[in-house]
Parts: sequence; structure tokens; C-alpha cells
Amino acid sequence: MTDDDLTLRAIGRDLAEELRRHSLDVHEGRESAETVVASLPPEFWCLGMRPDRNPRPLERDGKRPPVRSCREFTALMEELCRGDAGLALAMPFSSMSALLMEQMLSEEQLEAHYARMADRPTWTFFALTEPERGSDAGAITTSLEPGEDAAILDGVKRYIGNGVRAYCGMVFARNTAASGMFAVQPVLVSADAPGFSAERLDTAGLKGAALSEIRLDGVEIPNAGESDAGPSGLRGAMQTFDTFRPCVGAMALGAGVAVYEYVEGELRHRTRRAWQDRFAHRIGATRGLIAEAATAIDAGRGDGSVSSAAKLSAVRLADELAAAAVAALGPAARLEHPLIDKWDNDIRGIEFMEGTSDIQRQTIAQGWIAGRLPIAGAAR
Amino acid sequence: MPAPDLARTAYAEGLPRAFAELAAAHPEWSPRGHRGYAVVSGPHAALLRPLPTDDGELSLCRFENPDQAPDPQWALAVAAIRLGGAERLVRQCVQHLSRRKIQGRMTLAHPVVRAHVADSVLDLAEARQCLGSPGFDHMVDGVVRRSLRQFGAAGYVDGPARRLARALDLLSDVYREGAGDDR
Repeated sequence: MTDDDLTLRAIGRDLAEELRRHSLDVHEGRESAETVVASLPPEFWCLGMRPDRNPRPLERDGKRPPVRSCREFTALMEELCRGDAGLALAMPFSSMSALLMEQMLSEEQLEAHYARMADRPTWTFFALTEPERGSDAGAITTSLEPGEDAAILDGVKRYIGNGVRAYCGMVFARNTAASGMFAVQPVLVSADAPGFSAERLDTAGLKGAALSEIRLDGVEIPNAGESDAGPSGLRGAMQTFDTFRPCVGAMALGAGVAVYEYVEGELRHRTRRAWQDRFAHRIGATRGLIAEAATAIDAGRGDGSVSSAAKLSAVRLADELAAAAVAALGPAARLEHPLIDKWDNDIRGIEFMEGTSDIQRQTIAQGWIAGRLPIAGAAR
Repeated sequence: MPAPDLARTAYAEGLPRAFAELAAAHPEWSPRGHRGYAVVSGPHAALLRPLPTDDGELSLCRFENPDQAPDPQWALAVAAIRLGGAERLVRQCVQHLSRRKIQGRMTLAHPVVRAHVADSVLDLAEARQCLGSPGFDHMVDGVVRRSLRQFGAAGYVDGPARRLARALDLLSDVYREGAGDDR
């Protein structure tokens, strides 16, 4: 680990402690995630901004660790999720829309967006998933119908993080005037546009993330809908997923480590040793896989199967930890240790982000068969 | 009341109905579980909070004297109810997956999905053979976890599946095998 990595993790650990203090209050509806984020130093609202545009960079011991690469994001997300995964997702920087917005916004729009981020907590959304189709981007039915002055957007998006509190975000829609993979394209949508509405979903966990349903009823999108609009299309969405998948793995790992450490502190000597023997080495192995996937993405050789391996390893481990914790803490563990019950519910939600475990399994198998997943037998 | 009847009622008519039948058949048994927690049908003076299910509500209660041991007869009856409830969840899961499609094909028709269903059915079949043993809890808890996962994000938001799974998780918490603090 570099000095910047260590500094970033130390900052993340401090922030995680703060998030943990609000964890149960947010989970049980006594406090809002918006209030928690607003109470944080403004440097945390600006996380992830381009360093040359960030008026409030993080600083610790004279160092200003960047938070731009996949490796940096994964390290920070793991630490934050040791505090609270839902509140980590409520941090403005955690939306997948950030990278796409940088690509799609004009200089003027980007400047206004960054100024807003520096001034107050500013959320955006990344709306791809649909009620009956999950995150199967190829099956998107939300339509973008090109018109003379504006395109018209119609459809429903579901399980969209920060949907109810975002001021704008990216919506993936099928351009009715185009075909093939470029028919699916992201468009920037303002939350105050006529025809836009968002409603918070009642989820089992990850309450801080404000997973929402977004309805788009004849929303006008100026200057959108040309068949060559948007550099990304479906491929862009897939690249974003591949990039974000190790971050989801890091979230699962962070939540799993929270469970691990909590139980470790509750057990007596003999059972504690058995607990450590069962899980400590696996935590290290999963962290290694996540770092490997993030490094590959930063080096431009990211492969979906490596990201899938990182995510599945973390989700599988966190799920086992949560189930084992309930058993290890004895009868009535969920009722007597509400944080364990909450983390279990958080972990179950992380699994659904960026494709379920069965989809990851298929990607991993395909990647290894094709020689793209570096273990011993595949060329690096 | 025989365990198979309770399991059948829980499967066909839901958890509250099965608890009501249990209480009516054995009013002399105490619903007390671990640490003084208990689950009953209908209102109760010791109500901690309602426990919604997919079809009606149960009551999660907290009795005084939390160190008093659970009633093993009631706990065994609840194990039968959990078995039927878990199978009910698997049935709901199968119905859900038969209404959805992946890449144009019914989700339930995908071999990997059917394999998960088979694992759940097998676990329930084994659990039925060892009702009330330590292995029973592990198997039934695993089925609930796996089935809810198969609902995907739809099982993560409030709805019948999540309510039923949540109730089954808490029934396991309150009535599972174990002698209290064995840490």
C-alpha cells in the first residue's frame, strides 16, 4: 500500500466511526441520511471531484490523497462500509452517474455542478434498472422518442439509489429512432422536469441509500435523441458496471468485516479463535481479489470476469459471515444485537447491485474458459 | 396437535393461522422462547411489536424473567410451523420466477435457477426428517435465505415474500435449538 492508500483508509476509518454512530437511527427511521451527510465536513461532499476542480480537497497530516481511481474508491468504500453501507451509499460521491456526467456535461454545466457540490450535499442518480427486467440493459423498455425540439422520455426505473433526493441524474432509455446496442443511451434528466417523480422504496436494509422508484411520464429532454447522441450507449453502461463492480465488492467486504469484528469482540477466547481461523484468511483473500480487479481497471485492462470474481468473493463471504454471526451469537441474536440484524439486511441488498451472484458465476466461468481470468493457467 | 398438521396449515394458510391453531390446541403450553421473547397470534399484553407476515400479523412479545427456559413443546411445534412456512416461501418464489423472464425465457426454466429450487426442496425434505434437531435450524434458515435471494431485488422491498421471510428469520431467532448463551 502507498502512503496515499494508508492516508485514505485512515480518513475512511474516521468517517466510518461517525457513520456507525447514526447507523441504527437511520435504519429505524429516527434520523435521515440527508441530515447525517449535511452534518459532515464539506470536504466529504466533494469526494471524487476532479482534483483540479475540487475547492475542498481532503487533507490529513499535510497529505491530500486523491479519490479518483478504482483502487482508491474501493479502499475508501471498504472502510466506510465498516461503518454503515447504507450511509456510505448516501455519500454524494458514491453514485455511478459521476463518471458519465463528467463525460456528458458541457464545461459550463460541469462547473455549475461542481459549484453546487462544494456548496451543499448534492446527489445524483444512475437509473438503469427496471421493475420487471432488473439490470438487463439489453431489455430496457424506457423509451426516448426524438422530436423536433426535444425528445420525450417515458418509463419506470426501480431500485435507484438516491432517487428521491437527487437534483439530476442519468437515465438509460431506448431510442426509438435507433437500433442495435446504440439504441440504449444515457440521457441527463433534471429532477424538477415536468413528468419526473420519485418515491422512496421500503427496503429491508441499506436505508441510507434511499433506493427509489422513478417515474418518467413524458419528460422532455432538450437536444437529445439523435441516433448518434451520447458516446456511451449500452457499452458505456456495461463499462460503468465493470468499473463499479469491484466497488460493490468492497462494500460487501466492509460490511462483512464489520460483522466479523463485532462477533470477534463478543466471543470468549476459545470460540473467538475458531471464528478467526474460519474467516480471517478469507477476508485477506477477498481484499486481494478486489485490489487486483481495481488495479486492472485502473490500468485499462479491466475484464468483466475479474470484477465479477471480486464482487462474488466479497458477497459470498459477507453473506456467510452474517449467517454465521447469527449462529455464533446464540439464540435471539437478531433481537439482542440489532446491528448484526441490520448488517445482515444490508449485505443481502448489496448482492443485488451490479448483477446477482448467478450472473457473476457465469461471467467468471466464461472468463476462465476464455483465458481472461488470471489464476495459474491463464496468461497475464 | 401433530407437527405435520401444523406444517401443512403454515404452508397452505400462513403462519398466523398455524399459530392460532397451535394456541387453541395447547393452551397449557407457554409460547416463551429464548431471552423471554415470544411469538403469538393475536393481541397480547406483552406485545413488543407486530410481526407482519404475507397473510396477516403475528405478535412479537417480551415476557418478564428473560432467563427462564423456553417451553420445549411449544418450540418443537414452532419448528413444524417454520418448516411449512419455509416451503410456502419456496412456493411463492417459484410462482414469482415463473412470471419473470430473462433473455426472453421464463426465469424458472433456466437450469441454474432450477438447481437452487432443487437445493431448497432437498434441504426441506431433510429438515422434515430431523425436526427439532440442531441441524434443522441450519437447513431451514438456509432455505429462507436462498429463496429470498432468488426473488432478487423484488424480495428486498416490502411485500409478501420479504414479510414472510422476515417472520421466519425471527421465529428462528426466538425458538431455535440452543441453550442460551453458548458463546
